[in-house]
Amino acid sequence: MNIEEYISSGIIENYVLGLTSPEENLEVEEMSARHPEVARAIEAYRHTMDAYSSLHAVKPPEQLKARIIDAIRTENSNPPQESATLMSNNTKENAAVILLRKWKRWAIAATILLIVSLVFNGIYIGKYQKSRDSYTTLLQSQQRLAAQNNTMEARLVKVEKNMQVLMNPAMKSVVMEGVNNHPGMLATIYWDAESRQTYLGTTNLPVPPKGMAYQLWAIVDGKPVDMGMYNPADQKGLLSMKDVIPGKIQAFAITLEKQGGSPAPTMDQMYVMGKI
Amino acid sequence: MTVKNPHILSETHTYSEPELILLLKRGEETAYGYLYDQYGPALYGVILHVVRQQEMAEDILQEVFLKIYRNIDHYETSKGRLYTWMLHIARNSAIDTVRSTKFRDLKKIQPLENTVNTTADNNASSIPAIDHIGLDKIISALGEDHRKIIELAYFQGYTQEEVSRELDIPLGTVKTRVRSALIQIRKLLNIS
Repeated sequence: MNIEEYISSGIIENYVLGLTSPEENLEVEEMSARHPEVARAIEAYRHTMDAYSSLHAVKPPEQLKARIIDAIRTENSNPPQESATLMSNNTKENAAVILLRKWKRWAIAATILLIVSLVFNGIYIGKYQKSRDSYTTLLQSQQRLAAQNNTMEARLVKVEKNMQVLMNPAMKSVVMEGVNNHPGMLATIYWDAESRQTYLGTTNLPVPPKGMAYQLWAIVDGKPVDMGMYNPADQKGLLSMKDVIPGKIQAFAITLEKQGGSPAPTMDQMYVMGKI
Repeated sequence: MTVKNPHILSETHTYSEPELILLLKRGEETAYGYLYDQYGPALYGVILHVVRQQEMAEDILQEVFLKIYRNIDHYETSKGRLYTWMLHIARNSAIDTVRSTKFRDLKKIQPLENTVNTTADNNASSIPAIDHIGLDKIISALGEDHRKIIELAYFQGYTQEEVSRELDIPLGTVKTRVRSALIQIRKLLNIS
């Protein structure tokens, strides 16, 4: 379609009377911007309608001018919020076109933002994975340290307890020495003369043969009394044994017995003994 | 607002359009007075023609002048003459009022003149006319079909579809009839 045909198609007249759709309005405005003939045709018809409108002119009532000038003066001294009035003098069609243009602008802006966001997402996913890995490593290391700390604490408590036992002024001790064919073997016994609690210190006794175990004895009033079983493998620091029964303690001794212990010591299997 | 140039108060003073626009943008009260004197009757006439009720037309004219005052900064000379712009505001304000529910409710209680009445009927009312003789001549020469379509599209803000329904003619006919109506008006007004 050439320009003459476009101008005589009727769209210009319909546009000037406000009968065209928002899309057609955009088209006419675009044609008008590109072709001066179209712009002139629009202007000519607007002029026609301006003149036709003027024929309807009616003299307003006398007092109206003063009222209107007064309203403008009032508004001039109290300017209202501007935004509310901007749209009001556009036709519904124009508003729709403006909305459409705004929408397009926003759509472009949103697309750019989306792309930028996607790029950063890629970068941050990489960074996030790295951070997550180092976090896991740190967490494991922290857990390991905490476990170590617990162990250390337990050991410290035990040492402190041992120290208390040893530093008790009522605590007495005797070193048991190797007897018979066990020279050089040593074991220390600690007991509280008042509460009669008894502890076995570290020994250098060898690991007992299979099915056998060491048994601690006290000689009280000339009779051997069972003080409990002892396995060198279990010992870490002071080992709490049975309390010594009342009576005069004459000696402590360790014998090798069958697993579970014996009611009376096997004398020829005595390893160490200490007299008081 | 203070009057900056007292001499322009004189009735005989005329402005060129660029001068007037500049003064309006500056918020000069005298410029608005001049604008009212020059264009008030034309704008009021169009509003009255659309709403057909004097009191409402007065309120709308006031609103139109406030809209001009508020939006003069957005008016661009490149987009057309000042009068075309003001006419556009006046026509749309009046049409918006007619289409509002408040106006329709009022219409139920107090029936207004039918929109297809000729303006000759207006002369029978108390509204003073200025150039209705010229208008009557044009209208009778224009013919009923053309007058009706201009009335509905231009003064009542009908869409193409609404015009088609109201006049019971196809959309294509609406388009061609609008064109021939405008060509004829241009010829009758003898605008080159």
